[in-house]
Amino acid sequence: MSDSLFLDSIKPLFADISERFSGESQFDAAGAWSELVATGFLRLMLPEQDEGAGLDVTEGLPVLMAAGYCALPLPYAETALLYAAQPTLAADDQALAVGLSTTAGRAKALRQDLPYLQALLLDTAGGAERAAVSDSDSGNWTLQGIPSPCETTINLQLLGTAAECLQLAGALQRVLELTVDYANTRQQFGRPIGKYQALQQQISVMTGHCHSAVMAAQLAASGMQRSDTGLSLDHHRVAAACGMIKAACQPVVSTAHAVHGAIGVTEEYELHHYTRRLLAGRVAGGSESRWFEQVGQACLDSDASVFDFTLASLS
Amino acid sequence: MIPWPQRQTLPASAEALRDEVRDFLAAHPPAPAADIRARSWMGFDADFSRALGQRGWVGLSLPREYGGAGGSAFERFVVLEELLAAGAPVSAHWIADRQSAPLLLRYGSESLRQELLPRICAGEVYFCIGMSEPGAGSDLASVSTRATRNDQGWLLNGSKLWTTNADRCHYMIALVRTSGQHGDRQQGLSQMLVDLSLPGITVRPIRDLAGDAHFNEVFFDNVQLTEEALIGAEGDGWQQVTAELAFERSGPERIMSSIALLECWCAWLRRSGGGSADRRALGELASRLAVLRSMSLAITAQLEQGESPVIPAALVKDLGTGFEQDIPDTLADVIGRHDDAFADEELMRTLAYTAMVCPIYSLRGGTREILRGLIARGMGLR
Repeated sequence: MSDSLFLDSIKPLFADISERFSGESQFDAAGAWSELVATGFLRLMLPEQDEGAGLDVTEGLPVLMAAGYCALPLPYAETALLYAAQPTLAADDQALAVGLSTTAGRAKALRQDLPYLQALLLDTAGGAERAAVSDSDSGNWTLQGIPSPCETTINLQLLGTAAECLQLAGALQRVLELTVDYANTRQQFGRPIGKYQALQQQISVMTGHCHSAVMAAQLAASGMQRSDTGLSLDHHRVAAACGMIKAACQPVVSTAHAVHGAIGVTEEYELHHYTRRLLAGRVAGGSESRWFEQVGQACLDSDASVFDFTLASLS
Repeated sequence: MIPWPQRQTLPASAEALRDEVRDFLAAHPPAPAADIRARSWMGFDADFSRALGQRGWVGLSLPREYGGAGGSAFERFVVLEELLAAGAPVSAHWIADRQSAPLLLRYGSESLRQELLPRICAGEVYFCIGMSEPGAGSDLASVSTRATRNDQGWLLNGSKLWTTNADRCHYMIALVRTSGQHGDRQQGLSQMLVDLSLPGITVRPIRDLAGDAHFNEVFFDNVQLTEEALIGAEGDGWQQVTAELAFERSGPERIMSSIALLECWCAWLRRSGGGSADRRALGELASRLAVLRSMSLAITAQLEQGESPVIPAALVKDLGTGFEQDIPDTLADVIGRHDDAFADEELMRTLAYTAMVCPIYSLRGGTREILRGLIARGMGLR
């Protein structure tokens, strides 16, 4: 199966779950998760001996981005990447995400708007731990029982941030499409507003941000290499790419809302599902400054020119 | 919608050239001072261009039968980015290599190709581009320089403006009106090869705000051209120019123009230590460089496959020149936080030079605002 066949076969379910989430007062998140489990797509990037599809992250990227493109309200990309990072995590098909430090038996996921989650992966002084969770109260998940050690050595913060950023790249694509469609449809002064140079110039700049983010997502994916034992992260390449995607979020959101006018800030119109995600996602796991500063430090620590550092560590 | 960029990696054969170019540069070192290397593709050195031509790196992707190396667009990409990263003085052969030779290969007569392409590839013959005029900048279709048919060929009258290196080049390829009137716009335009040694041509250098004189105004007073001077078909000038401009967008030169400043500052940071704001700025600029370079390489792959990605190239050029201009902006701010930076004269000269000339980065070859209109149309806004 080619990349696009994978994408074509799962995207309708992503869109359907997203529609149910925004349209129904009683969204059955656990039921939707079971539907995702049944597709086998959580094992997209697991080796074939672990009943996976054997894709590397670059091959799986269109599906990971599609979760963001569809504003999927479930931790699909997070879970699929965590399974790929540590195949033993896939044993019981649980919905996973990377979490932040615990206080008083509670923890947050990097992504704060999740309606459903079964366990968080937490970085602690003693190594990675897996904590079962239930009942989110405004994004604060209640820990169930005692967290168990998790054998992964991967940088969970970076992996969680990357999972978020690959989805943001998909959300940026969707926001660009909505904005261009709206500019071609909405008429003022007797013609579509997309005919006015002031908006054309803004949408061109927005296009540049979105295209940069999509290329950055490909760079991030290329920096997440799969081996028999899991994923290894090319830290600086992934960090640089995450910084670029995060840096694109605010300007794209601003222009999208400016072009849409008042309809864009209504509950009824779909734009806010994506722009909310972009604004929250920009901060989740650290804003662009956090990741850019790490990249800058790494460049200074190397003896190379900026150009050579870029070739060797970021490209 | 513009197709989303697809990441490409360099083939091993192209990557293998990198060390060869570095060895060459070790033997032909660019100027030691960063503010001279910051001239980037405006630094003119005919000896350097000839040495590069002998190595086979001018007209690298042209067919061997015309003196080229028959290399790929990827190989050319590596050579260009290495030369630019080093601040090598590539200006002499730059336009011939980038625009004129591909144009002649595509539209020139066989005798012109035989005559000119091998000399271009040798790094011996230099070209300039006659597009802008006093009354025709972004509105290029309003050119009024005219070539009128006569019994010896074409008689050329008018003038061209902002012609880079006209005073040091052998030939100009000029966009001129061969029929119709000013109001006919894109109709009636043709491209002419003008030997700049012909009688009736006056070249007046224009000094820029940094004290350099790369721009010129060129006057044509009854310049007699032969029948052979016409490149391509009469009246097809607009289509040919549009195709030519696709060669000039989105290459490494649209990303690297401020690299000498970036490297000079990074070296200073290593010596003097910096703070959080410096590290953040360095990390952001390096990350942008990585993504832009990948986008430029994606366009190179499309060119290599024979496609003509005019609008994606415009998008990369807009992003790239923005990056080149943001470097002096960002660095002026972070450098200005350190009193001791003012003592580093090379750094401050390089910053001052780059900050002053960088406005042209988004003017040359088509202004940012024109490109953004093109991008908007490519996105389906009409």
